Amino acid sequence: MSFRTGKKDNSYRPGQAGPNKAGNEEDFDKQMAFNFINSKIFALPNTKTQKHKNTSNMRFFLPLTLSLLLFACTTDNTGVKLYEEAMTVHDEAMKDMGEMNRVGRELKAKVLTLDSTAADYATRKVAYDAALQHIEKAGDDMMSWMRDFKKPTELTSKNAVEYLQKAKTGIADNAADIKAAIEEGKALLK
Amino acid sequence: MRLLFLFFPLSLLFFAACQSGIDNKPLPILGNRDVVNGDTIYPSIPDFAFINQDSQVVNNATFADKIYVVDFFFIHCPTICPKVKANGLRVYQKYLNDPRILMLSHSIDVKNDTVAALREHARKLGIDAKKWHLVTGKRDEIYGIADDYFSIAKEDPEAPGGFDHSGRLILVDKKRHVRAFCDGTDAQDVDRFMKDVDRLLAEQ
Repeated sequence: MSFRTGKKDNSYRPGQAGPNKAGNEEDFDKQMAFNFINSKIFALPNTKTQKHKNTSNMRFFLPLTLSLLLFACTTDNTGVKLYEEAMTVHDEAMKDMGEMNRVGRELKAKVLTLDSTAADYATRKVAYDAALQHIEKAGDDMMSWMRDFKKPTELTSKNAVEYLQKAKTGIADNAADIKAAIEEGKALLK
Repeated sequence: MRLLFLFFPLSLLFFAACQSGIDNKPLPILGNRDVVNGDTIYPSIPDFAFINQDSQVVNNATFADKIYVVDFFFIHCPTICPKVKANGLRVYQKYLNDPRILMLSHSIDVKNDTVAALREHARKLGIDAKKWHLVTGKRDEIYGIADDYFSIAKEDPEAPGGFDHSGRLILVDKKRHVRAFCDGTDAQDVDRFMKDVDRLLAEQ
C-alpha cells in the first residue's frame, strides 16, 4: 500500500527489486519511511509548492480536527450513565422481589387464620386484601417494565437519553413501590 | 546428590496424590443440618410440579436417579439472566450426552413467560427439552421453591437466605440435597462449578 496514493502497490516488496533497485528489506523500510514522510497528512514543507499545498491542507484539517476535539469534549456519556443507573435500580429492585413475594405468601397464610367471627374481621380482611393487591401490582409493574424496556442501540442520541430518563424514572418508581408494598405487608404481619 | 534425585520425583508424586485426593473428595451436603435421635438430617428440596416448554409436567419423578443443575430466570431480564444463560449453555454442551445429569430453569415471570414463550426461548437457545427444562408455574410456588434452593445455596450459612436474583447455578444430587453452587454470571466460577459436577458424577 502506498502511503502517498493510498492504492495497492504490488511493485515493491521486501526482498524484491524495488524502485531503487536495491532489493533488500532495509531499502524497503527506507522507501516506506520516505513515502510516509511525503504522504499528504505528514508532508513536510520542503518546497514552495508543498508549503502552499500544506497551508491549504491545514485550512481543511485544522477546523476539522478542532471540530472533532470539540465534539469529543462536548459529547457526554449521559445515555451510558442513565442506562447503567437504570440497570442498577432494576437489579436492586429484583432482589426485593423475593422478599416481597415471601411477605405475600405469609399474608395469604395469615388471612386463612383470621377469625371470621371477630368484630374487626371485615376491616382486617380489607387491609390484607389491599396489601396483597399492592404486592401483585408492584410485581406486575416490574415485569411490564422489563418486557417493555428496549436498550437503545445508540445510547448517546437525544432520543435515547430521553427514553432512558423515562425508563430510569419508571423503574425507580417501581422500586419504591416494591419497598412500600413490603412495608405495608410487614406491618400487617406484626 | 542421589538422595536429591530420589527426593524430587517422590515429592512430585506426593503432590499429585494430594491434588487428586482433593478432587476425589466427596462434595459436602450444603445447608444447616439437624440431628434427630442421633440421625443427621440434611436439608433437601421439597416436592414440586411445573410445566416445561413442551407443555410436559416436570416434577421430582423427572429427576429421579439424576443429578440436576437449577437456576431462576425470566426471558426479558436485561442484565443478569443473559450471562447466566450463556454460562448455562456451556454446562449444557459439556453434559449434553451424559444421561446422568439434567438442567432445570424456572421462570419467575409467570405472566409473560408462557409455555409458548418458553418454547420460543428454548428454540433460540437451541436446547433440547429432554435435557434442559424451562418451566413455569404458579408464582408463589416458583418463588417458594426458589427460597428453598437459595436458603441452602448461600455463602454465609448463618445468613437468612432466600431468592435474591443473583444468577446462581445450583447443583442438586439424586437425594435432592444441594451439593454446590456458583455465580452463573462468572465464567471462571462456572468452570469451578463444572469440576464440582464432575466430582458429584464420580461419587454417584
